[in-house]
Amino acid sequence: MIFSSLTFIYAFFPVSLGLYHLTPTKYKNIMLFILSSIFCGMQSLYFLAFMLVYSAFNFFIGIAIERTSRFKILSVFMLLIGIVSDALVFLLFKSKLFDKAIEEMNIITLIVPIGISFFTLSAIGNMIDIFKQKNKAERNFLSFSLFIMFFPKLPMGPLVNYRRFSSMLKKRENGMLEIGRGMGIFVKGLAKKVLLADNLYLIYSAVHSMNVSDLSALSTWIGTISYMLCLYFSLSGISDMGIGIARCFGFRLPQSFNYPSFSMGINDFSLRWHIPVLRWFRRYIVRPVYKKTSNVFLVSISVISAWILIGLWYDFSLNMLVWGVIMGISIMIERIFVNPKTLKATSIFYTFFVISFASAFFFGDNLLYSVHYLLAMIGGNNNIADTVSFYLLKSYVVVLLIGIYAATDLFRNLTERSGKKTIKSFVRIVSPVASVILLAICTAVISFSGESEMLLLNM
Amino acid sequence: MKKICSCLTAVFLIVFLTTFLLLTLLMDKGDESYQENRKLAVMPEFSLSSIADGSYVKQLEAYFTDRFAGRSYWISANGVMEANVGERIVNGVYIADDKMLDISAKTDGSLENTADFINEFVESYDGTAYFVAVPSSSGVYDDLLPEYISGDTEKQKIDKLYSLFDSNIRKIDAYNILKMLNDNYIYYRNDSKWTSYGAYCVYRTVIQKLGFLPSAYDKYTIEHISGEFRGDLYNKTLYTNIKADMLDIYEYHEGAEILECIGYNLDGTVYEKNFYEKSYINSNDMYKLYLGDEAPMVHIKTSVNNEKKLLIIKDSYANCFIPFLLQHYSEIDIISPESLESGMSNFINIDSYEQTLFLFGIKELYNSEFFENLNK
Repeated sequence: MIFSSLTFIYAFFPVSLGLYHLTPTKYKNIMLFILSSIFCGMQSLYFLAFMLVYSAFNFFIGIAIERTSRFKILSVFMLLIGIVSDALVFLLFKSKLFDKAIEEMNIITLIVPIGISFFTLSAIGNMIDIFKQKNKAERNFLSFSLFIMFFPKLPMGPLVNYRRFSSMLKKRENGMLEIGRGMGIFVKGLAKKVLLADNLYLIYSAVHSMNVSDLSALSTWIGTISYMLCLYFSLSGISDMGIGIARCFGFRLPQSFNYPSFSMGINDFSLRWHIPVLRWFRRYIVRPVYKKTSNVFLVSISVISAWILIGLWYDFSLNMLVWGVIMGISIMIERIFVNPKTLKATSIFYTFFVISFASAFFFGDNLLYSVHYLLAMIGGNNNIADTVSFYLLKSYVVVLLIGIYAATDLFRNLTERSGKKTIKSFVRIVSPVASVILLAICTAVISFSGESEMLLLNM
Repeated sequence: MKKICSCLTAVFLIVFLTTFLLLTLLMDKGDESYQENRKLAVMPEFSLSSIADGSYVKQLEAYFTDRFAGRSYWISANGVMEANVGERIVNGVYIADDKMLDISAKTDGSLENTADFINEFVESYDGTAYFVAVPSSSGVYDDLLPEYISGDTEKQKIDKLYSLFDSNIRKIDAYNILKMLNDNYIYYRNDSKWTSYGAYCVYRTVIQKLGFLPSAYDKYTIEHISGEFRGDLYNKTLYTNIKADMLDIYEYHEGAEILECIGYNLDGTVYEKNFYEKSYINSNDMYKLYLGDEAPMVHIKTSVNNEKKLLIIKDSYANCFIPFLLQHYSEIDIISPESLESGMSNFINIDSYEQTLFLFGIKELYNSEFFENLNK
């Protein structure tokens, strides 16, 4: 079951909310565990079993790392076992490396591990923190398994470290106010996914369905921009829905994105895009190197390899490896060569181009396709614009304009930073009604098939 | 005030969600959707294995979706929204200015298999076989569709199928006839099938190939049965801003009459059938006006006195085509492979017909499993 489906919105969500708030405070966490287990079990019981085993394994490894901390070698060994097994599980499901082996084991094909990208990072990060003694190993299995399985953050994060999560497990606010805020965020996320991402996907897939050598330059740019916006609204939409649901249960999870479009520089982009995920890679891969040495070469290597891992984390393919290399190298070039006093406009401009070109590898089927696509973007097909591109522009002008507007922080600035009381209070007064209207529109859009699937990546 | 607004949001949304949840659970919607003209998903049967692999929950979700309160209103509201904002594509249907066109790519079956079954049939058949593959409206009006919609055009699909056939099958090109006449009302606006007039235009060519002179258009009196027909494309979109369609009956008053029209059930029992089932005009499936409910076989005897027998193997495209054939044969037997569940030889002996006419919409021809029963 996915968040953007009628069954979730109109059945699972209100029922679980009711059950949770009827449960006495003392047992609320147990209720959350039961609800999360049901959520996983509805995918399939095999998936639930897998999640329980996975949680138990990481739970005991965590304790083992802590217990052996006096014997360095033993504790390193435990850490390695943990990281390697979690990484192997990740590769087993996300890469094609083990496809032959899987074919022989039917049971694995029955597990569709939603959210594996996220809970792998959570689990590994937690082990490293315990190893570095920044965190204590959890001794309560229920709490730990909620860290892995808590259903609002299962499909699309956001990542949160254990210390923060466990403090919320112990103490949090519950009440109408939190439900109202949470539901507002949920509806906003739903609208991002259903109204924007799904429509932008249609533009992208229209361009993608054509032969790459027939594409006009304008079409390729329309395709690229739609893809990037679609990716942004899918990831942030689903993650907002998760944040919203969690908020209804009193959890305050961190934001995933901070309006990454029109970033001023690629470094700036990397601080606004998928924040908790990129922070994870910075924290566990780049920073340890940075602390030991300031050698430009070594730091560059660590930054580039972190970006390669980020790419492979999104999707385990050669294309994403290339994407990672491009992103890593451009970040290092910017850090070393670009004057921090460069004009705002110039930075926005080159960032946009670098990220657009890199994204040709993000969505390409293979390297050859991406290279052809890049050539088409700079007019290599000797075709600047054609009827298809005008047709797409004409059909989707509203969607594209709303998408671009929503991807910038213009609206937030208008309401929160303008300082004008009247606008602020107007937005506030309208918002309860606006939420209901948005929810109704989204319901209409998903009413035919009953759901709006994740179309771009399997996280 | 900030707090009051948040609480209001909570109250509004909770009321909204629970209202629809309760309405969905409490309202009994029956087993069929009138608007969409299809059976609704049923409550899945409880079993440990279906729970374990998640299929139980999947079916439960389909059940919930199909019975969601106000489903048809939600769907038609979506149609209006999408036709006005964004591309004019709603649930796999392209909404042009004055008609709807199906663009859902349906390629799960294979033309090769279908062609094999038909070739096999023809090999063991002594008479002459004629084949008409009819394009759907989206094939004839494909110039209205967005340019990027990829894949083979229906013309290419028909050409491909014909090239797979044995040379002794007489192939009849309906596509070009219809394409040339596409300024006329040859296809419904709300359904993917041709109109009676479209069928008549193709009939003129087909009947010449079968060895007769076509009846002139002015010999027919045309009775407009209903102007409220909305077909399969409407069922998918529930979009009402396209003008409803006209269902016509072409009567040939001076010509031959139907002496008997007999429908066969799967078990071989027979019943008397109305050639035009006018009672369906007040239903949600008006197209059943032509030949009524699908039967595996229908036998028609006319007052034509030439001892000629024709076998028609067909899908629903033929239902408004068959009236034109009545003037030429004293007996017509109609087989619908879709409704056959066992071999065709249980119903007829193919060698008693000198001529066999295959008439199918090109999309139906991808369902090769239907054609397996022809050779049994």
